[in-house]
Amino acid sequence: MALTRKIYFPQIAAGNWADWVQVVNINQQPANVQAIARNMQGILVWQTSNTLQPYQAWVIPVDPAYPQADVSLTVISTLPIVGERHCHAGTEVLAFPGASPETKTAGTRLFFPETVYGCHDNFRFLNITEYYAFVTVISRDINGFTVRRFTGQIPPLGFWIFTDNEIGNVQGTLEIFSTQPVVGERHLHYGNGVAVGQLGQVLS
Amino acid sequence: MPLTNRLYFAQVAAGVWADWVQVVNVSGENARIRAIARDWNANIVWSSERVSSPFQGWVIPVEPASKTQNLSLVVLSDKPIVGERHCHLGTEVLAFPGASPEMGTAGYRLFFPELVAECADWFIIFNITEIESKIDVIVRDVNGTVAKQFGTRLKGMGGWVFSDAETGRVQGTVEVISEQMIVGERHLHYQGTYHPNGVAVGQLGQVIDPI
Repeated sequence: MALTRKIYFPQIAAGNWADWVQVVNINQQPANVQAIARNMQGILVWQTSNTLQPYQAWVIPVDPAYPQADVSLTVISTLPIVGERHCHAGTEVLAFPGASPETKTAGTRLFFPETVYGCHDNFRFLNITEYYAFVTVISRDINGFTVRRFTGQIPPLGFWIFTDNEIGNVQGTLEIFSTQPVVGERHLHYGNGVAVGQLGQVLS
Repeated sequence: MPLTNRLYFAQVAAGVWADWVQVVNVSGENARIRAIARDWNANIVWSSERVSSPFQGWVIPVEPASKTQNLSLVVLSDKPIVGERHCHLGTEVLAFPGASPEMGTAGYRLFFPELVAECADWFIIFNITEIESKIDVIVRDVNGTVAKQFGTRLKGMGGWVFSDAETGRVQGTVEVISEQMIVGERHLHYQGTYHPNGVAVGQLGQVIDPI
């Protein structure tokens, strides 16, 4: 059953990136929807709520409300919802659906089928639980050989970021294992006005 | 358990768009992988296969077959795989993971949380079964009021496209309901006053069945 009442966005970007997040109540009854932004340490920094009529959409005003730093966004509803985020700078757009365990986009083993040598790869992971998550990362080349392996720790409801510096700027793939369910985003920046955003594919 | 050994890509694009499709064997053993491209009438027009080592990536060389027509692509493996597609034209990129029922990206009821009035929205629906499917589309505005409703019958393993001409240039959402399991892609191409040209966003339909 793919319906969910709680969706996660690991990033609302600070700086010159413009974020647009929209959620939709996909029921026949009104839904009370609450949006909560947290910082990297998992501390709540902003929140708002709204009542949505059946199939009504709501653009969550988190971007103008909290421009100081990157935050995560959790959207909680009394009835099932879906959501989407577009993060813009010029012609670069990072697009993600709202993630959740029910929609199979949050888990304890995530896989990214591509990392690109020569481009900028940026990864971020949101721990969606109230417990510390211990995370192991494996960077492989295109033939499956392990190139780098490292670990990190994510506070409850906090997030963790790493880039090419850690994974070794490899043409290959990336896998992560976590002791708690996480949501993972990859931001691929070509360097010439092109960007691609992808959620980690859950293998757990 | 989301592991799958069958991935679906609703489109490999024709014309000036450049498609890159990569699949990775995510098991600890060698995997025999087969890729099958069909036209939107479900006729097989190309296939290829290879053996991939554990965690080895394979860029599927389907693109020459799609020079003159849009195709779908099904990738079958005897071990679990994941995959990804990037479809490029200048600064526009449409990016999609390989879809499957196990990954929660193929189903009977798909929802697209956005439709933009002043941009070009384009949808591809791929019937991943061998059985013809009746398909209904509901277009709503941002307040949830139904703006358009239409449908079709889509043959087994066939593809169907609709765009703003059918959805009516509404600022809203799209829901697709199917008798058989489908995969859906949205291609959003920016244009107009507030949306700079040269930007595209690709999204899979979000599966919301059953209700």
